[in-house]
Amino acid sequence: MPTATYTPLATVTLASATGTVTFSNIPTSGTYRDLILIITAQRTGSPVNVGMRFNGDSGSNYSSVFMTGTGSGTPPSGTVSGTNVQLDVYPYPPSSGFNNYIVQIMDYAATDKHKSVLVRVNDAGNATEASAARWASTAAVNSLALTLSNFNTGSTFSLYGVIA
Amino acid sequence: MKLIESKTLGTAVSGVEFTSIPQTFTDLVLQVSGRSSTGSSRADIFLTINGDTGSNYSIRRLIGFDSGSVQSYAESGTPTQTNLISITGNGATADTFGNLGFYFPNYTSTTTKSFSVDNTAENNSSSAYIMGIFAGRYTTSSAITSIKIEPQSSNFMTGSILSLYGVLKGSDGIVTTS
Repeated sequence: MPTATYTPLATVTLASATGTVTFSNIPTSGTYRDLILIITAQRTGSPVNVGMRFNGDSGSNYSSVFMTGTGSGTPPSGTVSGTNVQLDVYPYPPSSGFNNYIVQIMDYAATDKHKSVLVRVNDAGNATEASAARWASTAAVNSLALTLSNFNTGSTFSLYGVIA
Repeated sequence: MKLIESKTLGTAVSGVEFTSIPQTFTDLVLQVSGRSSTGSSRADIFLTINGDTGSNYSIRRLIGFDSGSVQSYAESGTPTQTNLISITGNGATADTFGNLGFYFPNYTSTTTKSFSVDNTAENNSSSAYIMGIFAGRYTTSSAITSIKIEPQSSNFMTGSILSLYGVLKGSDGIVTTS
């Protein structure tokens, strides 16, 4: 985890349950090299994984490799792909208490490379997980949307820029 | 991210505690470069928050290490019962230090604290290494005001460095949310 200065860009604390949280107008002028997204989440309804989509791209342009510690048995690992970055595979936001996500989006404003994402997810009552994801696009990231059936009240989302 | 306090050990100590942690940040980051005085290649680490030694901690870990295949465990209880984080010991290759990275989101909240730990103890040895990721939980409604870490039955050796940072949320006035 980098220890460079984080510049706060925006934060959301949910006052009511919602299915999507979107950060828009993310600067792509080169001020920042990476983005850091910190989430503490709680769900309403059935367990569902959290998705992250860049620039509204709903194509099948996202893939991930993951490894998970569930607390027992052979630790699972594998790949997932689809129409968003699946931030979690085995863990998911709990219905009480909060889990946490630490998401690093590397070189997000570059226009000559696919975007790499590192994810750590933690819920001591469920699983710990690490994953690396790719968005198969050379477009600079100017928005990101997080989806769940419903993030519950009190869930927090904070976006930071990291200066190279 | 702002440095709150950094401690570089000039003498060996049994544990390091950060007290009177300011309540003005959103998250806390604790970075450790440490070596234990144990004669083994590594030592477990105890994490105690707010001086609370009760059964208020739980953890899940995923580790890869020198003793076999990748493993996962879940533990709960007191700090000494959830001592699953390891750091390099004095029986390992000379001059090697292990690394720990803790992230505590929303540490001032009045809900249960969920935190993250990443850990490596790489010693340039095929018979003494470990890395792991951990999900931690501290079940309390109190804000985190102090954090103590200590190696099991040993000291942090001279040259160990422990640094606590605060992360403050906010807005740049450009990025919008919906």
